[in-house]
Amino acid sequence: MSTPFRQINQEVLQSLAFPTRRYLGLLGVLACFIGWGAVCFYYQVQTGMGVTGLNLPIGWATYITNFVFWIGIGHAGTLISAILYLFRIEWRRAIYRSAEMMTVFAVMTAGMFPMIHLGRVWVFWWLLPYPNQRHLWPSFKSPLSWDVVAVSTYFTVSVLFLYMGLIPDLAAVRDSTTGRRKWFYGLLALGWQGEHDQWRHYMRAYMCLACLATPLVISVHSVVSWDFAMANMPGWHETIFAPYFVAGAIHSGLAMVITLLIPIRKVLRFERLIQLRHFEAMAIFNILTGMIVFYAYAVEAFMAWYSGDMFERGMLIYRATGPYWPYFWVMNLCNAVVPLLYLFRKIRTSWTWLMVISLLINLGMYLERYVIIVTSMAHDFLPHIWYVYKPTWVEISIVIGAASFFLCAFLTAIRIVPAVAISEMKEPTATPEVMAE
Amino acid sequence: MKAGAARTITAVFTDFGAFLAALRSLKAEGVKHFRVYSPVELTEYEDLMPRRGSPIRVVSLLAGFTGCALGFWLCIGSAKLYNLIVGGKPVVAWVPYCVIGFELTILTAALCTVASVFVLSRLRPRALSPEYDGSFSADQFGICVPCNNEQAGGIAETFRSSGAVEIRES
Repeated sequence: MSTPFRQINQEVLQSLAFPTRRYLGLLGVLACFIGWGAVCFYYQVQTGMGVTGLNLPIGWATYITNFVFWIGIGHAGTLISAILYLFRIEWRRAIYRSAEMMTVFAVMTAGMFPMIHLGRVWVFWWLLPYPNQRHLWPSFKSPLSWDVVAVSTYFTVSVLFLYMGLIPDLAAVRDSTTGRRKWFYGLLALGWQGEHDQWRHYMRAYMCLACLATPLVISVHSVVSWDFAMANMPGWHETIFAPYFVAGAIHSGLAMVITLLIPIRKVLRFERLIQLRHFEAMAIFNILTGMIVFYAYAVEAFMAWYSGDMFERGMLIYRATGPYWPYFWVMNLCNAVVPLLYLFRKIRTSWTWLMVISLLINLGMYLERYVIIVTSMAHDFLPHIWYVYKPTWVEISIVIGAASFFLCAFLTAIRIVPAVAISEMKEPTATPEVMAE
Repeated sequence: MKAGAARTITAVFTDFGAFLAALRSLKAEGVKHFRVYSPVELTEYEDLMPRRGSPIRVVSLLAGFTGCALGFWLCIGSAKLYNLIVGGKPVVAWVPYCVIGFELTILTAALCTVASVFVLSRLRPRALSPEYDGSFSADQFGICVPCNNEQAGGIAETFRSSGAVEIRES
């Protein structure tokens, strides 16, 4: 009896078994990259920021590119778990837990970069508002202060949302294990018993959190975009930046969910739970976000021409024909044109194409942030200090180390907590008619 | 537990229809004190439960207002402590402070929402109720009725006739 429920339990809980040697080997390789990144960061701290390619007039480059990229990656998790929850989108059930975990680790990865970029990382806490004897407070008129508050709020709410969703599932894991694992999951499940009183408060709270996370996700990348848009810099000082960044964030985040879930459904044997139709739905969403991004690119170019602002025009021409032209054109191709391939059903239902296109979108979105940040600074109002920036091996190593941290944390987490929401997956099978069958 | 209850009857159901039927019978018999265990949140039996709704939305709303006030207070208070014109804006500049006000609205509301569900649902590391069965988080439903000795037989019979697969007494 109740086979669908038990089957879901079994399929999800088997993914929490001890990982294979190959899996552990992969984690080991990632740990080596993390270690190398940490060594390079230590070298940077010891030697100074001169080991990076940063030089006047380029104050922001690879590290800030990575900050914006990883914050953007996180957005798809909140979109899938909160916004699509409010719209009662059925296909989100199978994928939202993995997407939420991706969000948390992406924001953690993003949070490292401003600190790495600071140089004097040991004083990063000066960014935080706290009472001190010097009576010095951050200026809350600065977009950088907004960023600190917005990103830390986003991280806190994402963690709360992830944990709240996990509680009934942790109880299910607790009830199916013994010994120390039972004690560990029992501790995390906080005495959850699935009583009606618990469910009724829980569901209200979950709905409230979804309602709070929805405007938050839009505000966070808007605030990140204002780091640039508030500056009087050609290529940055644009009113379209907030919606453009939000759409771009969701575009890259959805692509990252596709990239991660294609191998994970195989490795964790979730083929029955996470199906091709889920990927197809995300691909269709990617068409929409790709079109919004394309529109933003077009408006940017149009406004450069129509405004008659010679600096804006100069920046557009510089991006398209200057030393960064390959990045600019690959960015346009990957973000605006490649997603349109998903219009063909054959392509969006092919695992290979899904993987290739999602990787290309991520490449394009990374380059977009690089082009926005670096080209504007490289070609500002003073021609005598124009400079072509190239990242050094230290920066590249730290970036690879941070990406490895993201992957390592994600791959570890999906073996510790259920990567598919057990209780929510049961809901569609829980109607009296289905259960009677 | 109901005052004066000497025994607890727990029924286990694998069939959702039987579970609903048992709840309806309990309601028809006027039983008001009982607990229901379910592996999933279902709205189908919401109407049969003695308590509905939750004050959590109100908590979220009030916490949101508090957070908003806190955000503006933080910005204005710190600006007045360091009374300098920055970025060509007045010392107390409302527009940029809206961002901090908004973020703290969300943060405070989210923290209080989670705290309130922990309090209201009694979520804390603790021993599970003796009536609780591990299968309630997998695929079975449970109803637990505290009662006195005279009522026990009737309640057990109600469960049996509704299709309970197991009835336990404690």
